[in-house]
Amino acid sequence: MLYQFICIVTGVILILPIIYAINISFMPQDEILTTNLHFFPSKAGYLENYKIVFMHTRILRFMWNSLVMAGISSIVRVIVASLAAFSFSFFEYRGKKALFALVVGSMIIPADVLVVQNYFTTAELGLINTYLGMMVVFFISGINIFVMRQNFLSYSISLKEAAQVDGCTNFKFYRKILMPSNIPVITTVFISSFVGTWNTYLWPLLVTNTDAMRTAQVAVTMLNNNEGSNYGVGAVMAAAVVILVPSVAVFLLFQRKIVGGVMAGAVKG
Amino acid sequence: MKGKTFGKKLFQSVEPYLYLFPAFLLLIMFAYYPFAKNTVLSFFTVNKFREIREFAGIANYIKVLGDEKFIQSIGNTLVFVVVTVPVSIVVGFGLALLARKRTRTSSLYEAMYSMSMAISVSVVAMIFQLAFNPSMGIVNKLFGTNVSWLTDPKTALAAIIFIQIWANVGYNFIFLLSGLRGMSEDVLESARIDGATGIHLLTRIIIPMVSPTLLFLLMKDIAYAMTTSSFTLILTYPVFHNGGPNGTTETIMSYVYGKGIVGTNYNAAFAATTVGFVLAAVMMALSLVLEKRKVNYD
Repeated sequence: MLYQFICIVTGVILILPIIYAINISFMPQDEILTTNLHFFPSKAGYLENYKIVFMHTRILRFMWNSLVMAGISSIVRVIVASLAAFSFSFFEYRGKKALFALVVGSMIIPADVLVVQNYFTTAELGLINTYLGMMVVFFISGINIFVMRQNFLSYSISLKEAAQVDGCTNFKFYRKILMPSNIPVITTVFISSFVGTWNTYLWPLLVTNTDAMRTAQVAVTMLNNNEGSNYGVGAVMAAAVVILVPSVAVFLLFQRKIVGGVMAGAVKG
Repeated sequence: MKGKTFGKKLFQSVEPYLYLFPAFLLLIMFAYYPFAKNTVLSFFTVNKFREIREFAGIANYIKVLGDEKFIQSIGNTLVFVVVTVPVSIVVGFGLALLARKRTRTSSLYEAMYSMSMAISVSVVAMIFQLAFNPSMGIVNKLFGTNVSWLTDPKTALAAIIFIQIWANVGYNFIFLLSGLRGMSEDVLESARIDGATGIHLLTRIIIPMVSPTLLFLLMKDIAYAMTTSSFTLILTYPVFHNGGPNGTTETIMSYVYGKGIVGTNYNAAFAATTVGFVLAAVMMALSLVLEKRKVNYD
């Protein structure tokens, strides 16, 4: 019992910054500005900050943009990575080793190193201020290919051969047998990709410059820097809380699945 | 009949490549091509339309490495890596050890420990910007201090490092927890029967068993930290229009951003990018060498 208590108290300390943000979002400006320490709002039910966020900013639009970007690019990434991993784990062909080395090699090039050049490529393709431009660099991840291959390899090749004897084509095997039986790793890749893309800041900042195409992550920082004086920090915190809700919800929903040991296989730990 | 088998054979021989095609198209377009282009252009003088003017040899490198600001940004980045990476892995590991045993409330505190993973850099930045605010932030109110954490050159980098550690912990925790839970109980049990306890159990049994996870996190965290720029760009760029108070929070990639995106000094930006990449690769290789003998893949 004491053990659990210690664990929970540690957890509360860790999420104090989030609790702090939630508390501030329910405080009027003068209470935030006071020099006394007010951790909890002195009166409950002050919703002015949230009213400002929903009525004076296009927060729902920003969140929709983030959702489109993170959702679609994660789906595409799962498909692209699983197809490549399927090829690497179930076929023998010329150049396989060299091609796989290229995948592994790409893992040592950190994405942020490529940001400037990718920005120029995206601009030349005319994809500035488009969803495709916001998503395209997230379609591929060497590490996801690597992780999926690792999982597929533990899958017996004889099973694919057995399926072939039964008249199953390779692609059908991929679609009907391999993918459904690897839901845990697919979930892991999808969730980690979703959270990562939803959270990304630099890339959407670069490739969008209209209000309508801003993602929530970019917009919330602009709320503060450009218009903070109008809305006040309480509203900035309210906006932060609002855009925090969906990603935390998705995360909590799938958290048990992620912790449930699927990553143990993913990194072979 | 013959045509059909030929067609079938042809399909069979190209089929595995077809599955690779989307991945490699994207990999080339958005990883290898930009990487190669940046490297090539860094040896040329380019104008502000990124058109090649003349071959420059290593002149761009000499110039950028002679820039005090860039050297400072390398120093900041290395400090950032050397502090954030080990601390956030150790904290994540400590939490994972604490949470390893399943209890009735496990899912509650697992969620709290991993929570920071679900929160974006910009939300994290907004929260800590307020917390560190000199007049209304909770940090000064709590400790009775009067420090302008994010704008004072003495504290700005430390504050950003603190924020980054908090942001990293959830991710490291969740991976290490599943690593720990993936350990075979038999091995732990027999180690305990042999009398292994406490530190001994940790260093001789547990750490070697989760070493692949540790290595994975180490590489990932180093790559991320070496190319970090988000907190600098969100928290100190709007105030100082460059790398923070006296350049104390400038990182390699925020320097590149300042030169290549805000300004149009591509010669500096491209050379700095390559330097940043080489340093990141060296750091990763170094950790790999250090870790190599200790990693246990069985």
